[in-house]
Amino acid sequence: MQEATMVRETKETRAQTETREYVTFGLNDEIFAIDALNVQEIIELANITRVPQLPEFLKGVINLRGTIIPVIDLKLKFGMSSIEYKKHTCIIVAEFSGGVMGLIVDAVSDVLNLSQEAISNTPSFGAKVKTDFIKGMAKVDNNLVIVLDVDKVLTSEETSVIAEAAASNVQ
Amino acid sequence: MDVKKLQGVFVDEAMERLAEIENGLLGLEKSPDNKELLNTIFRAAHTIKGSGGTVGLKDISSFAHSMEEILDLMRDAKLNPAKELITVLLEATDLIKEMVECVASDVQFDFSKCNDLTKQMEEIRKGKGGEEMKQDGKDCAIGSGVCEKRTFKIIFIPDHNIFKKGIDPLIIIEDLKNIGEIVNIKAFSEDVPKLSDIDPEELYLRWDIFLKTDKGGAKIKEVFEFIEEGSEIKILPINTQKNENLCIGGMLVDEGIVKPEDVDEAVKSQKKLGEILVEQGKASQKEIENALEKQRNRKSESLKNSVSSTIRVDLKKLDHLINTVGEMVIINSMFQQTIQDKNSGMSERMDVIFSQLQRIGKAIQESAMSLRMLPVGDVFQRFARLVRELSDSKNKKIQLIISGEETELDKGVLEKITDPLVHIIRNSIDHGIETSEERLIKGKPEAGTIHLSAYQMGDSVYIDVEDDGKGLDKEKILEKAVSKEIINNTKGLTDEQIYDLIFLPGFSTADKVTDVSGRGVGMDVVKKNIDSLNGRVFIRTKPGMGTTISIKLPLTLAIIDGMAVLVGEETFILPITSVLESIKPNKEDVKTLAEKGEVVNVRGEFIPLIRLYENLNIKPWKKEPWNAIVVLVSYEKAKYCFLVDELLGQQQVVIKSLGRAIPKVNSISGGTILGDGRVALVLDVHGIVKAAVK
Repeated sequence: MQEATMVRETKETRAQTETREYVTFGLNDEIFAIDALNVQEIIELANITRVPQLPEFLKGVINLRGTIIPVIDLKLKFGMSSIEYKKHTCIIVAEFSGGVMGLIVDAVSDVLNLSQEAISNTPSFGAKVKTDFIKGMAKVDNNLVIVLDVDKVLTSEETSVIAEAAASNVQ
Repeated sequence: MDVKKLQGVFVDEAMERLAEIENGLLGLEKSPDNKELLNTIFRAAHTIKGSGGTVGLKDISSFAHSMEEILDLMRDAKLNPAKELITVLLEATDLIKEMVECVASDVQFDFSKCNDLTKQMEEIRKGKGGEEMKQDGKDCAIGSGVCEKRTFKIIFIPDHNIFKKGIDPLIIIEDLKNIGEIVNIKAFSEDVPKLSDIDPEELYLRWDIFLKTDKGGAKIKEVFEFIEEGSEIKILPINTQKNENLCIGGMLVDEGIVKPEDVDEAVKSQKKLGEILVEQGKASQKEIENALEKQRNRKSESLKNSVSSTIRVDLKKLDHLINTVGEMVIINSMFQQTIQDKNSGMSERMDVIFSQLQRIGKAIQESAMSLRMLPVGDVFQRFARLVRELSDSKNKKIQLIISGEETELDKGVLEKITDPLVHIIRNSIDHGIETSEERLIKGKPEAGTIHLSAYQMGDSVYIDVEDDGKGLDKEKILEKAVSKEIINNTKGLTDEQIYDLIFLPGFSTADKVTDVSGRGVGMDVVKKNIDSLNGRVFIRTKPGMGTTISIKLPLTLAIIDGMAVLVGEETFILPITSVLESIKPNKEDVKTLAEKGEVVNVRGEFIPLIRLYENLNIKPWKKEPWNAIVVLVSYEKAKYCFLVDELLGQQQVVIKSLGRAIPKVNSISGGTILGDGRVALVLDVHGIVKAAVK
């Protein structure tokens, strides 16, 4: 009986302290993180083929070993200023519910172990700033890390707006 | 195993079998004596019954069973494949198809729909049923009537206490009737004791039952499952070979009337038909041998035909293979470029090895692509049904001639081509071919003919629908087009342009709207579907003689020949099928028409100019057409000049999707990977022209 209780306790503690790996990257001066399970690989910035009639943040398509995948510039997607791509600029190939997509980021910095409790809820910034694709925030070594929800980033309403715009274009 | 999964397998199989039945029935109507065809139909119906039951679809199974019974009567030549009967069977096939579709989409099928047909089939069966039982018994006793079914002798010695177990042996015998026909049944009563000793609760009888069934012994055993204990049951299959040849002898021996030796002797004294004929001088020995040889060959052929030479493969697996092969094609071209770049000392050897690799690669690519190819015959066969029904309902006599069934098309193309063909054939029947009276007055044969043919020419497949009807009426088309305000000026239109009007939405020349066609939808759907396949439609018509609608289709969708062009710094691929030529125009050949854009004078023909860089929103190297290159593109019989910076050459490209996150862009139909690993976009001529014309 006592043993059983103990087993349950350890299980509970494990659940609480369960950590996940996150890949962190920089966009301008800010640090973002996404669940490492979503990351398929990180590749150099390749030749991007631009596709006409798409919104600015959808940069085009690249060849990932024979498969064509779309790439988006995360900075443009988040409405941040995007300057020229530099040496460290790379593409995170991320899987999400709609397939595989490349995310252009300034630099990939680290893989972090974060426990669920270390990620705090997103504070509200009012209606001006959209926070629905932010899973939460974490403090790591005095830096603020913004943890993103990949699925929401890539399937947020903007994508459907794009689709609509494209559809109306066709007609 | 998961029943749903099993049912999925059943749906696939049933659909195939149903198509077999349908084609078979239509074939049977034409050649009622074709036993092999009837057997195929029977087998297919039987399979549906069997596998339907296995996956728990009892209603389908029992419906298929009633169908099977009729087919069985036909096999025994007790029913003739008359038109009415075939119609009933076709209707039944349709119903089963509906049921199966319901299974596929997980919808409950309304089984009350079958009541009428079940009754109808029951009546047909009953009409012959009485005779059937008698005749059947006779049949097998004489040994005529080749039975594909096997006959089993079942020796059934029940436990004396069987009644006490609550089992009625009559029920067992009834059950046996359900799985086959009881050809003969004999009860042995020698164990019955004197009346004074009889215990009414005991059973003293034993039976020998001869059961003709297409089920195996295991199925029979199942019937006896519950009474196995205490009873003695022997199930002896009667050798079918013997059954056919020695049916009478076998039966007599089995029933203990004569001894096997007597039969053998009797058979030995019998002469073979061939020998008798030779003896009587009706045929030479050689002729008989030849005939026998032919017979043997035919037997082995029919055996070969009965074994299907296909396997079912999940389309996803096939697509995966083709994708992989596509990647290999790309790697090949990358490899080639690399060796050419680094022209070192070992390049000669490398070249040799590489050319071998390329050869093998090409072979694999071709065979992988061929896996997707299906003969058009499968689709064509369906139209036999369509023509049959429509011509009946229109009271026109029409025969359908099919040729080139073996021509192969990509599965994707084949699926999309079916609807357009239905529309075209419907139109031919409805508008094209005249009624019998009209035809006779015009001195044409009473029955109209629709010739559906497929053939390959170059890298395209053509499908022609040719009718010998009245042809398109130019005046009527023009009149209609003007009255419907589709065009406002009838002048200056070529015959071709006039005929093409029928492809416009909302156009229909039929005076009355019929259920077949005449609603003005149809031909525009045809055009749209075929456009989406990068195909084209042509019309040839002669008033009073008939119309031919010819569909030209690319062999495959996944790999196309393309012309690589440069716009700005980006490479684009134009499908070669739409490229006519490329020219460098002179400055004075490029003219601007007030508000109508630009045209290029190509050998006296003024062709609209489309600046690709404008459409694609790219900064070009050269804005002046006389410095750049103009590619002449044909689209819907019109020509357009596409302005590009440079031509890069012709190459095979593997078309890939741009990924789901990229919405459909109207000037791009897909992407492909170039030899240097970059992605090039494949231009959609349709979209570009549409955008430019607007």
